[in-house]
Amino acid sequence: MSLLSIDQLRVRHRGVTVVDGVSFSIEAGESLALVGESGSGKSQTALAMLGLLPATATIEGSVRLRGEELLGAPRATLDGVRGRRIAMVFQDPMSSLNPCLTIGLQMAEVLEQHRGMRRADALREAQAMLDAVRINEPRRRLGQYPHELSGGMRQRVLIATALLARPELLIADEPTTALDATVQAEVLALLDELRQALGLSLLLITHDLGVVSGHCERMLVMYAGRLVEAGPTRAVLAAPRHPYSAALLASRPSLHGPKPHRLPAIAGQPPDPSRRPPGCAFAPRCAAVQPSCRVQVPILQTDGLRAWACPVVAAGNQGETGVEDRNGA
Amino acid sequence: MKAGAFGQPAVAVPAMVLLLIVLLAAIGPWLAPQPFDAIDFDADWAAAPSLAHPFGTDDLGRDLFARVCVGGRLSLAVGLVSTLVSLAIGVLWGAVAGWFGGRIDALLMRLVDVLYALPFMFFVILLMVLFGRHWLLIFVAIGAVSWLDMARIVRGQTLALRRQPFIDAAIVSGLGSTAILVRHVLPNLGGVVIVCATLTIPQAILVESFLSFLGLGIQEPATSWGALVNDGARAIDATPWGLIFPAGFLATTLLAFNRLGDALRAALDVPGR
Repeated sequence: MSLLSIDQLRVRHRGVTVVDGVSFSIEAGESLALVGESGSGKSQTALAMLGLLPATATIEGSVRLRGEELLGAPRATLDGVRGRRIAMVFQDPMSSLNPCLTIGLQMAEVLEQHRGMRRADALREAQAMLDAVRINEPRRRLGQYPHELSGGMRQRVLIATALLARPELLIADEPTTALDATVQAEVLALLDELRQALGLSLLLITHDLGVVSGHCERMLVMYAGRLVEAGPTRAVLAAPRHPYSAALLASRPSLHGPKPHRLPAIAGQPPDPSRRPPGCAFAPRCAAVQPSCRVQVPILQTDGLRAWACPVVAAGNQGETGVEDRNGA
Repeated sequence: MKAGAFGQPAVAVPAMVLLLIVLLAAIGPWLAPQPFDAIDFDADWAAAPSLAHPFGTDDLGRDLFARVCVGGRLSLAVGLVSTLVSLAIGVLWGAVAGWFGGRIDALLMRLVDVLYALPFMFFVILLMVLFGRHWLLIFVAIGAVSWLDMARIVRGQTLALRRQPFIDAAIVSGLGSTAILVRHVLPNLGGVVIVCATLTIPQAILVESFLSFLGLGIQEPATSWGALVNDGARAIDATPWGLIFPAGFLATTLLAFNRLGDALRAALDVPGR
């Protein structure tokens, strides 16, 4: 059984669908990337999974953690899952820590809550975890306030806090977006290392394909609330099957090959979620668009290993996506 | 919260002034030449300040220094009570309303609206009619209204805090709703609460002075700054010291509290990043 399986997840805010029938699963020990541009619904998917969306949102479908349904579960059940079995690290390390409490208190809290530990024991464990995420002088850090730490250090603290209760799954929502490039690499390497050491699964939400290629075994691509492509990272990056993935890849700079005059960009804008086109959401921007694309929402087809939501490419004319494949990894 | 706030002159100066005033109100009556309600038959009635009576005497020959100190006790006590009520009821009321939201919020805040809408003077007069004139009623009346502002301000602050990512982070780490309210929301209200409290104190002192001025407050021979100012204002031509001293203490105290509140707001502003 998969660690976490999401089936036909649909999220609506006041009638506007932001996540539209997303299904995927995460296996134990796996690292999975959820890729998409801003507004594609990737964060909404994660928030919906953990029951963090405001009460005004309508959520349909199912999210099962080892068979146990999380959608619509009572608060008490969720409190036992969140932090204990599924932990999450947010995008902005600046505001994800309580400015009024010391690092030590915020970390100890998780252990007191989930493992019923006493304060002194919890602090000792927190110190060990800070050491594991390679924060220097962990003992002193416990007594410090968030504003005394740098951004990278705070993100490490958040990762350490998330891992304290030994969760099975860590969801990282753009964990490095707010950090410097060098710190980014360190934090990602740390995540990799901890994942292997602790045997946890990682769901990495990002818009950075570079991050995906180095750190995730499998990737999902979302566009306008729908899953458009899924598969092993290496295969998807080497030969994307959905025109959107292909266009994304084409628009990133490469170290190899001739230097293009300008980087190709995807023409147009992602659709407004309240006025999505009737057929394929990517059709207005797609170079390989067919008349049928504008009428019918493409279904996700699969060959067992990969999945893609584009009938045009399925016909075998990959050359007609209008975008050359490039070796992204 | 940083202990270093009191090292800053903007905070330390008004705090020291207030400390001196409180000390004077506490031990002043023992230093005075005679009890606050005793009459000095040797001195002139309404005597000007002198060595025997540093603040002079009032029109009955009572020592004004002793009366200012005793009056200060009542005025400061009113300020203290209003603060305690604001802290005990106002903070909890506002935080619960803002945090749990929905129907709880609507119910709690409509109750605050109703109390707000009640005409204050009518309320005080009603109390006096029902229970007779008693100094305790001043505390009841002021206590009943002083927490309303606090509740509203705290609710607003809680609503803003609820959207902070670290609250989401706390929810994701599996903390229960009440635990998050106590551990994450309340500490973050500290700055606002302290500032609001320091502004509530002078307001309550003013309300008491106002009630005493109207004759609805403290009764002779007991007194408060407001009552003393009232007496002094009536004889301002003949005995200006009767107005100057209590009014000076009242104004200094109010100013000090306001400055303290302002300085604390700046000093306790928790750095977000």
